[in-house]
Amino acid sequence: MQATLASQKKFLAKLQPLIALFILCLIIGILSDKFFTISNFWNVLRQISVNVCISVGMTFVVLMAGIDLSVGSVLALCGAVTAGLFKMGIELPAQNLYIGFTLLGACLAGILTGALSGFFNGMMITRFKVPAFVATLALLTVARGLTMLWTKGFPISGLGEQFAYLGTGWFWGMPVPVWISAGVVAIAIFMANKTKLGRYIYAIGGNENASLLSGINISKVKIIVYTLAGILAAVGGLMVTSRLDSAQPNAGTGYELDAIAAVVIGGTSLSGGKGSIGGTVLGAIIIGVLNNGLVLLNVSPFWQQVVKGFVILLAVIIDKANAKNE
Amino acid sequence: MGAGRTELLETIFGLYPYLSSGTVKIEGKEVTIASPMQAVKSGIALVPEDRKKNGIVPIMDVKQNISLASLDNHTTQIGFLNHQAETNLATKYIQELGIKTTSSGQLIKYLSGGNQQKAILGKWLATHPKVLLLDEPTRGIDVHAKSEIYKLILQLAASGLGIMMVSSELPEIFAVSDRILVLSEGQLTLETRVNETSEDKLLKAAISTNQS
Repeated sequence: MQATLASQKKFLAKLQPLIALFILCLIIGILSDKFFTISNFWNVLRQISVNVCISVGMTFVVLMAGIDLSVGSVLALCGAVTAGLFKMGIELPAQNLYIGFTLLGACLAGILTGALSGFFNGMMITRFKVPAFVATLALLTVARGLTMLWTKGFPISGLGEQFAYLGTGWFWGMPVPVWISAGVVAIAIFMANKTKLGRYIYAIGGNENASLLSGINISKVKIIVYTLAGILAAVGGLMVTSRLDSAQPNAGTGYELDAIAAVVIGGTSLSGGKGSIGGTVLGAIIIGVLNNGLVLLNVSPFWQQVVKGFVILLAVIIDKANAKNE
Repeated sequence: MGAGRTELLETIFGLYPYLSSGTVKIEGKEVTIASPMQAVKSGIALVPEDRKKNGIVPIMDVKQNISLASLDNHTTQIGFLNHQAETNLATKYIQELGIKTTSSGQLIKYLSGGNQQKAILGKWLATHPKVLLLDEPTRGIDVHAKSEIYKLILQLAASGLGIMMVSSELPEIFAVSDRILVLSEGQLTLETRVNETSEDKLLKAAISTNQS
């Protein structure tokens, strides 16, 4: 009897973000007649798809009690690399050589850039024992600087219709970026629950010492996870670049904070071990609906930032209260 | 304090690869162990002294704690978990070791110290080790569970598993040992068979430095 009561309580605790979302939608829906429309529905989902991609990577990092502050800059760098290579290729005047890139080749190069960035984070954290906060903060600066160097500080624009499809196209009645982020989420949920890697991520977050003493290769898992976060930032970068038809040198600024916010609102503990991809997606949707609602209600964007900050605080306070009840 | 017993076990288990001298032989063959990962692959298991800090993953259930060190055996080549095999494994050790838990899905942090310790033993038995290192395996465990753990240790030793137990409780040492080694300030001060020694001799060796 007591056990069922406890599990019911836990079930309710898990539902909290969903209830919060429901109430939020209800309030905005009452205040604005534009909210509950199909076009706005897709609009919200398309807007959050970049954050969903980044947040999924961030969830795995945070589950291991890590943090990745570099994702916003990495996103910009990868977008710029793809845009630059696709538009201009590589010219080596000394060898009288020109290498052109197909769209797919340029995209893969961008994703590779993201993977290398994440791998670099992982190496700094495991091999050189740099705290994750510092290592990724350093890469935040480095990647932004490299983006400025690569773009010379100017946007790379005019990438063509084919590339724009990635960020603005529709496929089977659903925007392409929503397909992409939904695919990322599906793979991530599978990875978290059904693979050895996922189990090791939770174990390391739950007790790193015990995981080490169980013979788990902690460094390898960490490097893989940071590399994944880099790859997902790159995917986000492709979508942003495609949507704007332009790689902006200052793209993605502050995106790491949105991702961390989605992770925290979704109930993942910053001290590691506890949390889920599903929760993070919900967190991203809550942030997206909030942003959308405040725009529809003509609230100043500055107020949006204030509100978002308080929502994050509220989410953590509720989470702490839940943990106490357990 | 500072006898170097825990450090010895941790060194054998590969935690200090750059600081250690000497060799480790398993079944007469010398093995190189530079990390706990290699130790586990070589057939060594370590039940650490501090259960909360180094033993259990509190946010995981009993099943996941038991399978943690042998996940390779319960996954397909590309790393997909086999939940059924995992549950079967957990059920097996819950029965064999008499772990008291409402189910294999119970979070391990809700188990008593003795049952947590048995689950950790189960985790290592699942790896089919050749050598089991136990560091104060009955610390903070109630009397009944203690006697159960002694029984287990004796059973495992009888089945051919090599066991090296660190303990500072003399009755416990006499109850389960064949051979006793005494360390004092990092030095080996006595090596003896259990039937050729007494509590006095052990205590003397424990407080002596190596000139005796």
